[in-house]
Amino acid sequence: MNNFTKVGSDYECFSTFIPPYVLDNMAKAGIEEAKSTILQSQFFRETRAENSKKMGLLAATVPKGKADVQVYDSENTTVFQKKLVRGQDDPKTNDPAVDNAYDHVNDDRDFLKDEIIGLNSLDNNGMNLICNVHFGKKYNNAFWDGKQITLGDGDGVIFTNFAKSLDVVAHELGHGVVQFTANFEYHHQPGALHEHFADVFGTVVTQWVEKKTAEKAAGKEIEWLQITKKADWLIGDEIMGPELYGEALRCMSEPGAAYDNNILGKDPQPAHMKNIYTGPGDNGGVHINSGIMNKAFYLTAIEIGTDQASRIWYNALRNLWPTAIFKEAVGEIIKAARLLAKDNKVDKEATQRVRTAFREVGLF
Amino acid sequence: MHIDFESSGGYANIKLTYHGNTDTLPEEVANKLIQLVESSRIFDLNEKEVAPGLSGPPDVLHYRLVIHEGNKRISLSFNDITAPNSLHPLLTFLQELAWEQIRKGKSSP
Repeated sequence: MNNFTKVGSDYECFSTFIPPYVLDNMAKAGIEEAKSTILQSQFFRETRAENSKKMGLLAATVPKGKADVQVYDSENTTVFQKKLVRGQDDPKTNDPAVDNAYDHVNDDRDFLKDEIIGLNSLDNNGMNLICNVHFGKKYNNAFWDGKQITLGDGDGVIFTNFAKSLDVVAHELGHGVVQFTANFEYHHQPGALHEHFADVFGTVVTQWVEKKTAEKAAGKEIEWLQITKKADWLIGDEIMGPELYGEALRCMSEPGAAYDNNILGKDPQPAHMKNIYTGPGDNGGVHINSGIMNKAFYLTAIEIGTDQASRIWYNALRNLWPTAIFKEAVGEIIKAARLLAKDNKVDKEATQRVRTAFREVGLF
Repeated sequence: MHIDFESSGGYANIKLTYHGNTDTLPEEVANKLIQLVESSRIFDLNEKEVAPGLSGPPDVLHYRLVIHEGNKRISLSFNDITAPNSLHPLLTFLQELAWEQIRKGKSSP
């Protein structure tokens, strides 16, 4: 069994990069990661096996891919990889969901390759980027499942088609990058870090594309800070349906201000540690408390530019671990800023800007 | 038949709830619910088989569904990944009903 070969069933599609016998051998060889991995559910057994901490093993077991984009049509069923409708470099299909998804995933892949991050696809090993569109009927959601992203059509009232939005696609693929690096557990503060870094990817990829488009129109290079200051810092604004026009799901510059209406209620995101959510809902507030870290990223970016902030955050992400909490993430982000400043890869004062940002949200 | 439904999480982190009794619902809605429950074969499902093992994966929707019918009762927790295909039409309809209630101001997320 190899990766992405099984199609046609919700259950069968979760085949693995690393065959079970390789995991068994890893466990027998005393590799602790593999030992714990085989005790977990089928799904997480596979995803954890793909953790970047084992890149060396991966390189030996998984051939380098071409980072091709593949868009599948679920044809309004809940079947993954049902029908391949657009592969890499295939012509347009005239289905907006397919073509938008294809363009957005390509943009994401090109951003990852760019010098800011410098990744060969999500796993840095050229894995193909798989996207399912038209999933379910009026499905109001998008998710990353460890292997691929899946986008619903929305119900056309509350949400429009999720494939329309670059920040949705980049957010979900961002979860993929997180999986192959820190691989945060998806609950409480580690889960909020998962969501935070995914939101960072969502907004950064969007700004990167805006910069390219603006440069093309102007016929000259545009400073990153100019783009950073013009950005809306909203997540999910492009998928709001007619009844929620003008609202967004999250606001990185002002967490808590994304929406306030009779349908969704009020945006619950805090912008400071003193208001951190401590309840059990949302897996311990993974989509709620991410607002605190989001605000710190925003405050850093508007001082040194989104490109430099992204570079710092990504370098920290590579050194974080599955159970990391906010304070530990802050430590790694500051450390990354210092090292990058030393190498002249970010501004000399970047470390101080990062500290100031975290002080403003109560994390330093 | 009495139905208690909740969906939560997802990219938008929206919590939806719906509670309905087919004895008191409009006939058309009640009949559709009865038909979807029957075709889902929910009473044949094993609670443990559909229960997610761990939190995540990121942004999937989580569901809780309790159905009482006569002396039969089933209570399930599952997510988009662990939900059997046979349940999806029922989930879609329950979500539509929940959104409709919100729009009419009867409930809020």
